[in-house]
Amino acid sequence: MLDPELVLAASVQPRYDYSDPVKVRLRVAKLSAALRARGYWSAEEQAVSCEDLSVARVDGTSFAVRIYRPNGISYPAPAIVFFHGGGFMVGDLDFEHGRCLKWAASTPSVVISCDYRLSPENRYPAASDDCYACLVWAAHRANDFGIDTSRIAVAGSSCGGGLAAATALRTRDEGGPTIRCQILIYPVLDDQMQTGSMMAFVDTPGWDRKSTAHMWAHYLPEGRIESVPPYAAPARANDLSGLPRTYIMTAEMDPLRDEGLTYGSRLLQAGVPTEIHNFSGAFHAFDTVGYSRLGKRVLDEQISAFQRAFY
Amino acid sequence: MGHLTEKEKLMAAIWASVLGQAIRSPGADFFALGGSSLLAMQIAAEASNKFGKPVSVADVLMSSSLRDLVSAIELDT
Repeated sequence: MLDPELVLAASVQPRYDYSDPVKVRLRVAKLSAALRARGYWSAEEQAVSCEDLSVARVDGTSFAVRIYRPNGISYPAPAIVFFHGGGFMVGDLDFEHGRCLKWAASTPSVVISCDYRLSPENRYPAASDDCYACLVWAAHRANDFGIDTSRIAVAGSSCGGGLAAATALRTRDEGGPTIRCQILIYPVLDDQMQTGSMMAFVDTPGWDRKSTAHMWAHYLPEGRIESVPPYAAPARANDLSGLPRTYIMTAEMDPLRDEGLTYGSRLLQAGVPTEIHNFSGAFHAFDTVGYSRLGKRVLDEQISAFQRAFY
Repeated sequence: MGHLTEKEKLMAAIWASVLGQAIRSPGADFFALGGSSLLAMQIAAEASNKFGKPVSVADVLMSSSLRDLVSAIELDT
């Protein structure tokens, strides 16, 4: 049963058809841009300075990042490398601008939001490569931005949570920058779509099984592949030991619930300090519904998870 | 901006009850009238009932005016 505070929000969530991801992308971008342009975040923007920069890839192309620096923070400061949601198909630097502003001001920390490449135009490993490159870049440029390299977190929501988990696996495997913690908000982790929640939630607000099927069809490489790599779907990783301390948040009525809970449980079994919190009566991305007491409680808990790792 | 069409009058009545003030212009701006995400949800829910079509909170938030919202709902069949 839905939390009473979320009934209204659930009834008016947009229902997107991800069989045409470009159409959804344009619509979502229009909303994000309209909100930002019309001052929807102006109160939060007073407390944080934002700067868009370009990060070069090895092949000479580049991707954008937005750096959030809260007023009055003392340097060197902790940093959060953040990957937005949107099913690998949708989203840009404006999409989770509100979340980044709140996290930057409240933790406080420098937030670096990554405008990674989207599918289906750019399938795996494009997004995953950009996210890892963003972490490496942030650590490399730490002095320029006043970042304390011993306190860098990776975080993301939905597919961004999966990208954060993949980034943590890769930096462990390749001996890349040290990650202090990973914060995974209702993460996308498992392409196999066999969990109980994935079977049950075929038509739920925020996200459902059908959207998940479109997402993987658009994100994974075309044609038959021998096996799906862990950096595409972190649930495929055999060994989760040696990963950074973890906070995982899931929502009860979210098809992604069980893959998040299972990943958290496996992390614990692998000896990784892990906190798992499933919110009952909640749907996917319910924490973006700003007015609810529940939304406030969730944000406070996310802030607290960063603070416990950073300070 | 001219007069309100029948559909726009229907929407103006919804806005008026949610925002607590009379809406007379098709150019009325949700944010300028003190709109918030909660009020946008209430408008979306009420509009879904009255128009008999799904109207999402995103539809309300991204419309630049009352007229813009009504045409978005009418176009989206």
